[in-house]
Amino acid sequence: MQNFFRKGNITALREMALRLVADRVDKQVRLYMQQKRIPGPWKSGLHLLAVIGPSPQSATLIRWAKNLSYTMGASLLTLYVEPLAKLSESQKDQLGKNINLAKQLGADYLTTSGPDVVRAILNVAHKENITHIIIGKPRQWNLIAFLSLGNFLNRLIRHSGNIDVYVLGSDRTQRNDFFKYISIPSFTSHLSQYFLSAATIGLTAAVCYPFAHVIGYQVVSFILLFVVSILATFMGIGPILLASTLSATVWNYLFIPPKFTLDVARTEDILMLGMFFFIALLNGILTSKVRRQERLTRDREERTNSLYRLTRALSQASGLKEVWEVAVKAIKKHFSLDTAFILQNGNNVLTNTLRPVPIFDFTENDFSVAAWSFRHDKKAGKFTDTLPSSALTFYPLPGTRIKLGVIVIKQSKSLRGDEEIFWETFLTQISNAIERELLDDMANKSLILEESDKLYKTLFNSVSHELRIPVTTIMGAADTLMYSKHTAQTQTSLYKEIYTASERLNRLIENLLNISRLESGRITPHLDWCDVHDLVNKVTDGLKQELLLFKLDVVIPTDMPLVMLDFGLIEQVLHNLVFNATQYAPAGTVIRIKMYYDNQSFVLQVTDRGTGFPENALPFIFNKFFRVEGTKAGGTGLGLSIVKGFVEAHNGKVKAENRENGGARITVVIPSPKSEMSEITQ
Amino acid sequence: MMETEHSILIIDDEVQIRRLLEITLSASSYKIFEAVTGNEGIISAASYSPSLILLDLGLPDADGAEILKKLREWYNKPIIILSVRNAEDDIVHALDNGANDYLTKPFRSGELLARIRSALRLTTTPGNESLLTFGTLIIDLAKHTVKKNDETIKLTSTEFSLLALLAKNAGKVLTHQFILKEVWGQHYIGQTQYLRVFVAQLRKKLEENLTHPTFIITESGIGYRFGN
Repeated sequence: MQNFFRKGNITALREMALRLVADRVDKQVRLYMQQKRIPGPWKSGLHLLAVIGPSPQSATLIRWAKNLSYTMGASLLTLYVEPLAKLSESQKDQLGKNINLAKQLGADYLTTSGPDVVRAILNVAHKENITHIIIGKPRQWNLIAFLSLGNFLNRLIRHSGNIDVYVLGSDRTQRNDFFKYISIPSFTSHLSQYFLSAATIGLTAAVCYPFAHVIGYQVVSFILLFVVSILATFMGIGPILLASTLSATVWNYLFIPPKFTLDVARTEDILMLGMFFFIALLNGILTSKVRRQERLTRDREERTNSLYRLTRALSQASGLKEVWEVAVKAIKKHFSLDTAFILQNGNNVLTNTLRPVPIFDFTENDFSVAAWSFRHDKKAGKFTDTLPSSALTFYPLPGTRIKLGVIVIKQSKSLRGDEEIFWETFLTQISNAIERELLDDMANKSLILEESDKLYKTLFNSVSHELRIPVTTIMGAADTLMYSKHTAQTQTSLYKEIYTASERLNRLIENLLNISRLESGRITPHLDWCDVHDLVNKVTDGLKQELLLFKLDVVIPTDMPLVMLDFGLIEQVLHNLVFNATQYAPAGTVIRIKMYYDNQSFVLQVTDRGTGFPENALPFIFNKFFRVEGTKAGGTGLGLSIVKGFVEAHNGKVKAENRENGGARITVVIPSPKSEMSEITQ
Repeated sequence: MMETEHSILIIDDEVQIRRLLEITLSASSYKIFEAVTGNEGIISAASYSPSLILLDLGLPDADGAEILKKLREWYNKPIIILSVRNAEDDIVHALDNGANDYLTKPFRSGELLARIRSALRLTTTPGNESLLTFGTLIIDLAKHTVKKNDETIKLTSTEFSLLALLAKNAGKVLTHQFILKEVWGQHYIGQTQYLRVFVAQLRKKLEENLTHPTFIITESGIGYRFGN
């Protein structure tokens, strides 16, 4: 510790601290600029922009820019401007490597495109508040560049305004590769195109030939030029070159006097031929350039579209399952790749289940690769630097707040530079959706926990009260009986109290057992034919004491059929309903049990002449532990929720309502077949 | 009040239940033996040969149903099962495996004594009497006639077989499947609607008050018992 606080260390620490502060302030500035739409740059901090390309030189450039940014304490952004020309495979490879290098070095990465490279670079630079642009000396000299570009660097410097431009010299040793980088137009067009262009020129010439003496051979040149221009709109550069050359030759051979020779007699014809050839060529090349640009735009648009479609589909998906399905479908469509997800289990540990379907042969090893990728937040597996022997590739899903898991893909060739960028954009969208669902799930889980905690508290409060009262009664009565002498009458009433208290306890235990059976979802009704009279008999027998004070009215039609029920469960239902009626209706009133069979269902109604339910309590009376406020002590608020649970276990419905002239009516409807009694008796 | 002293073996692991049963049953002049585990119960049953066994189905050392099976290999006197509620399947299984009756905890002492009395009586009076009398109801098994308040009640032959089966086992619970097998035959096991319909018909002919039957009593989810 003594040695730590040396001057050097302190200075270094101070620098680090200041840099952190600067970073933070800088972010705020940029945010502010974006919010207020202030065009850059503000020289509030240093921001380097390294323009990279698909050459090994760019790697050197990136490293150099990184060093520079480090020494300057500046942020670094790398930019790739998509060229019009197609990249060769080796160039794509190199570009991918360059982009990866930039990311590894902690630089941000952007890609842009535009017909004018200078303008594209400067656009980005202004938007990102760039202060320094670092660029390599351009080496790709092709015809178009030569014709259109003028001096690329000069333009960049001229238009850069107050942005500093660094130009890095190219490596001498790589000079030898110069010719490799001359961009050669691709002659990859199909053979039929060459044939078609030749045939079209031939045909045009043949058609024009008989009229040549009427319209004049100069006009023929215009017709041929016209045809070449049309060809250029839908053909590759090779066939266009062929068409241009061929049309010049044909024109010369067939039309320019002297005919049928390649000689040209007049000087102005030589000039015309030269101009013809040049215009045909330029026309063709420029048109195909426009088409390439158009193709690029179309590609980008297609990507933007598919990204948009993905985003929309993901935002509509609800639940992890749907998100997976949408994602897998989109990836299959766009990348032609099979994918699966492995997500974390909520405790930052990867589960060992592939979602949505385990489409791959997945081994223990693959899981370790997945776990590695998850832990280190880096891609792993095939075509990566880590564990490339695996048959699958694993990409971590980048969550913003939590780690989500990994995505597994099976690819036969690795994703190229721009493809990978697009892939990662895709992944970000998918990850966002997964994160949303995962966090939702977690929130739900904690809600459930909270609910069960609430339930536990209610249970504790309500049940502990309900348990204590009878226990107190029993203890008190037994104590009195044991330790003092009483008249026979007092003794009898104490015994009765004990018995009543134990009945109450027993009822509570029954209810608790039933509710826990319901909660655990283990209720499967044992359906059997039941005589509903038996139900009434059993229940009224069990509640004989309670019913003594009431007029019981049982209404069952004489042709009541047998119904399919779980006798025990419906007995409990009826018991709870009748018991409730005895508790809340005034003594001497009528309690009616009505049963009938209607519309393929068994209907059971219990009505009383009590106070009914308060209107605002009606929606809640079947909830667990719900008790109407101001009702008399005793009761746990479980009875009706058990009724509902048991009835629903029969796929039935229960409804509570108030009667017109006071009192409550509970109706239970249970779908049930009816037995044909007459058939059996015969 | 007992002519011969009956002995009862209680097999239950709960000391409080054993104590309660001992007090209740001793007060009714039964001689009591106690066993805490199933295996101890089997040994006690073999050494004391009690007139009746009260067997708890939820024993710690062995499944009550297993103990019942072992006991039934040689013990032919009544066994009454003690069980908890909502265990209808276990009870039916035990009854089909030779238990004579059942009681669910918590039970009333009066109920327990009634079950014990009826189980003991059924063993002491083997069913060779042809005339069964239950209050105003007289069933003549030999002549296939039933009289109530001296009036003859017309029954179909199936109705009579059902009534006779229940009456011969008065006080004892008979499971649905047992009754179906005895009255209708092996093929009718599971066809409870027959049983329901015929019980309903019998009740209409026999009972005074259909909402409070006293002769044919329903045992929820288990079977029927003929009241006495």
